[in-house]
Amino acid sequence: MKQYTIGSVILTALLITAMTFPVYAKGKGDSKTAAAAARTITVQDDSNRSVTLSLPVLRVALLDSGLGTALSALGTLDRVVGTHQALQNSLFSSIKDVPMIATYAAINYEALVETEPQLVLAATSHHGYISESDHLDEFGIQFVALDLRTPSRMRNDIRILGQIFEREAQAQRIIEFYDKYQNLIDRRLAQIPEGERPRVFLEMHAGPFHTGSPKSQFYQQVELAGGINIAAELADDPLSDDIEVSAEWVIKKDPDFIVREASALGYTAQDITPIKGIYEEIIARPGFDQIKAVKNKRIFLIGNDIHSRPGYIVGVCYLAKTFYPDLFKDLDPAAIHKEWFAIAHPGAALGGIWTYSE
Amino acid sequence: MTEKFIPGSAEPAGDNRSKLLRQYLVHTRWKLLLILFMAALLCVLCIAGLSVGGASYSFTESWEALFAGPPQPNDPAPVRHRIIWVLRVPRVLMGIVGGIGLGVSGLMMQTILRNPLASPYTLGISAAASFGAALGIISKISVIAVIFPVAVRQDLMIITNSFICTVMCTFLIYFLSKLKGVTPETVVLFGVAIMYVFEAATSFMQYIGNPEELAELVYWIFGSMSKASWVKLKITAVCVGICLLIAYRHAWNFNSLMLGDESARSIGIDVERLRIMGLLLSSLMTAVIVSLLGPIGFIGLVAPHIGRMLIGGDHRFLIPITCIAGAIVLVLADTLSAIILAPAVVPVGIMTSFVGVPLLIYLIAKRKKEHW
Repeated sequence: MKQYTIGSVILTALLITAMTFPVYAKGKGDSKTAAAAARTITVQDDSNRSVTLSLPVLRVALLDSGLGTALSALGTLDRVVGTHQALQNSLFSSIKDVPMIATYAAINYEALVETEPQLVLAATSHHGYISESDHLDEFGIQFVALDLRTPSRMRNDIRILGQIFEREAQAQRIIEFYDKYQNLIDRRLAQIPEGERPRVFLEMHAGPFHTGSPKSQFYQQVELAGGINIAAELADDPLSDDIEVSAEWVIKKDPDFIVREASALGYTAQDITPIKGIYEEIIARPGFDQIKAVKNKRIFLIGNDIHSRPGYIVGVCYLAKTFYPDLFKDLDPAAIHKEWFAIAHPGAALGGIWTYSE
Repeated sequence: MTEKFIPGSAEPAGDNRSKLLRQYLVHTRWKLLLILFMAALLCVLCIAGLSVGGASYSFTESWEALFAGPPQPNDPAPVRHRIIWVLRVPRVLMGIVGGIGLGVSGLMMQTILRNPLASPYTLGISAAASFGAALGIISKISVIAVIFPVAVRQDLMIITNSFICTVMCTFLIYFLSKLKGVTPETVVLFGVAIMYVFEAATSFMQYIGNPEELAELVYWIFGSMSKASWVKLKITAVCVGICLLIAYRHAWNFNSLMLGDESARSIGIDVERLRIMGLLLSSLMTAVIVSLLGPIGFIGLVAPHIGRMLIGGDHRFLIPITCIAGAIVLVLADTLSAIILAPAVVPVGIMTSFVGVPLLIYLIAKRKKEHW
């Protein structure tokens, strides 16, 4: 009898492996057939999923902060029935009583389903990523995953949201706002030869020495503002989008500017002390006193919401002015920021601390 | 019947025997009562777990939905009923089955290696499972496809990779433990070293992943009961059930193994076969649970110790009490994770340590003598 025991264990293993197939055979990405709706649209989301939605979409749950800004700009925050932890602040006071369904660490699927959304707007990465699409399928809830971080994807994401909420005209106005300032910057930068452009080290909010490769959400902003991102050479790097480089590498590259994205900056920031702390940590790094950027105090801190979120164009304007103060003498990023804020958060006064330099 | 006298004893041998038998029966009855008490405690915790969750329903609303029974596919049942039956019930049941599986898995590893520090986590087995998943998610490499020329879809890759890596890690530990001069402490050191290697390999995988892959891996590594579903529950229950039955059939053999290899061999036990079987069973249970829920640490370590301290080293009782202790820790941790920062859900891996460590320390402090 005993000699069969190991055999039976192996048999059990095979049995379990075979039984596991149905879990995955359900077809995770199947889009639901629209139920006799008057109008439907099909959108291709940033995870390359094709999703057909019945219109109008009146109940939506949000799993990322950028989505809150985008919906506010489209004037559709009143359709939000579930929010993310990042949207629980005074800037989104109109949805302060809406249930929170997700934190930076996890999605509360029970609470999400309880809000009975027609659609869940998710992120393509990090927090807000739908890990258990089966749970939504069980309730016939569809989801669309949007990036809303990378400048090159931003216009398309805004356009998709405009289609979903039938606010195409408002979406177009946002896109035109992006284009207006980007075109202005591009026109003036056209006269600057490649060799005269400043070399910039961008540090993302993940922490010291974390930079974004050209594939990342954090790379393009510097180049859109006319800088040469020293991470350009990491384009062929087989490693990830978020790359932790060494101090030696940065010192060797000797950038003209250091740009640091900091989540401590933004609408809710009131105290300058932690922001100064980030600045002082950068200049105190061993060997950094040899870098041109530190020697010339060309270190610029910028909040996420105007760098790698729907308000990115404001950050690009700030960076352009920082890199080329003479060329953009007449450009007033603070005024552009106010203009954006009026679009993104109508009726709200621009407050907080958004950038820092010395 | 003539009573025999035992030299040096004032009582007849029959009296001694019946006294011993009485003592044994009292002892056994006490152990059974303890198991029943623990099972009742688990039931209470399950009731609590079913009553509260991520949704904001009251106790009455939750139980009304539970008593209404599972809604049929086209049944226009209120969404509350469907939330409870589709999300909450499998979650609580998965807590029971997962707790049982991880607890028994840890017990068998401790028994086979005769090491109180052995567990799927400390021996690097959970880390190996994570690495297997990372290989599937980020590198799209199927370990099965490396061995056999078959196409494996990515979803299935995660579970098969994690299972194969788990088994490989288990046997690596086993063979290392057979090296000459290796002590139980060294085995744990090997385990910790292997754990670091797999964790480093997983970190490297994270490093080379794109944001989408990274997000998938991060969620996978965050062991979570929110991954539970009826299909996953059925698979886990069948696996854990079969493994548990096989393990329980060898309860006496495990008892003998605890007395030493020579003692076990002297009564005709094939020690090597028993060890390999035990390792296969424990790695199978760990692999299935970890691949479906993500790594949930600590239960495999703490549940057997709680069991030993409560009931002793007899595996006939130790296996059931470890099962219940594992289920209690996981269900309690999961319930607390849903309510402690509601509506936010705290990852269950954090709560298992918060719940299990104080319980373990309390039991060790109260016992005041070695239980191993």
